[in-house]
Amino acid sequence: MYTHIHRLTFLLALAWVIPALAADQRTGSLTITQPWSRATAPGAAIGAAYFEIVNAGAVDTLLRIESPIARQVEMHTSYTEGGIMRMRPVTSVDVPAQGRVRFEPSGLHVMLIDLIRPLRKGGRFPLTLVFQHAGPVRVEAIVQDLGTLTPPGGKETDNDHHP
Amino acid sequence: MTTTHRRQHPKASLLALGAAGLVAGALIALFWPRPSEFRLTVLPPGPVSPDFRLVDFDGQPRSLADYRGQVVVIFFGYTRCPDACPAALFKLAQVMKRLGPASAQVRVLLITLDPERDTPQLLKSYVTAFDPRFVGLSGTTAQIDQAAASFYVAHFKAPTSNDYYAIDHSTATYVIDAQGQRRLIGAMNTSIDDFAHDLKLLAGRMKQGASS
Repeated sequence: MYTHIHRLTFLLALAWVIPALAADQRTGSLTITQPWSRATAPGAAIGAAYFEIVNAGAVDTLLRIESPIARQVEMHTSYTEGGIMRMRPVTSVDVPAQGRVRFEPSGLHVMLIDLIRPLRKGGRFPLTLVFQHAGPVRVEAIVQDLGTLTPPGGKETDNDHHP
Repeated sequence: MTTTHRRQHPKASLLALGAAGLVAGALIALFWPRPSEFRLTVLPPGPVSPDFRLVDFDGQPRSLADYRGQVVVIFFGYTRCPDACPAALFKLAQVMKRLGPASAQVRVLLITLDPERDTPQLLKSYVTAFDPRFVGLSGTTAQIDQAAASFYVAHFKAPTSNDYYAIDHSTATYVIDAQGQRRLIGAMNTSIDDFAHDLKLLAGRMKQGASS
């Protein structure tokens, strides 16, 4: 009985991890890991998407992001200053040689403006990252629950953390 | 001559030191912050009472006084907010679940800082997606400015491209007690547990007040 439960947990964990891994996309020396987004309310105009760029090679620059899910796609950065959350457009993002850049809540993010359809939990949609040297890299973002703040497989209760 | 002076001097300064110590002790005893029973930051009543004259997503005019008798939780945001607003509302939805029956005495309100783009229908589908009991309020730009000012909420339009703007805004969550007094302030990293603990405390106190 115990081993059965154990096996089940393992399989469930595997089922959770495999799609996340499958979503990783490698092009040359760049790997885009865990592209994700969160579900939107019916009628909501915007969505946000996140991922991490891991660069095993020379410096590159992310020029823009394209997606058929929204009429307009921008790169923004959020930061908090004196208790105020601020947002600014970002025209390009440098990816350092042998370095990484993370798009994440309260930081760099992809702004999907005027969504073609609502983002539903469990769904996927394509994002194309256009790099100066590597060219276009297409990934599939996984849509997570409404208020999620961490990538797939991230701690679900992260919302509940203490400072 | 100088030696006597020296002998009296230490005595006098000792006495002064003792007196100063006593005064300091009394002052510390008076002003030492007593451990708060609340986990969120306790707000002293400000010179401006929190209030608003807005319209809910069903077209009903609403002021803070309409919610007297309930613990009111207010977040200022907008539906085009990328992560701070959905994170805050998602957390408050979980707090409501955690509260169980006590949630009947708690009202969660989202006041939009983007009345131009947040139509009543959009506001309704947005806030009720988090919890069907949540209410969204809007109004004219002047009404929104007045509401935000009474909570000391800062907000600015921040254009990101020719045809799009974000809204920079305070991300605090405000808790108003059943008497309409500003009581607590939560932050983006305040936990579900801490919110539930404090709201339960305020809701419980309200019950006692009603029975006595």
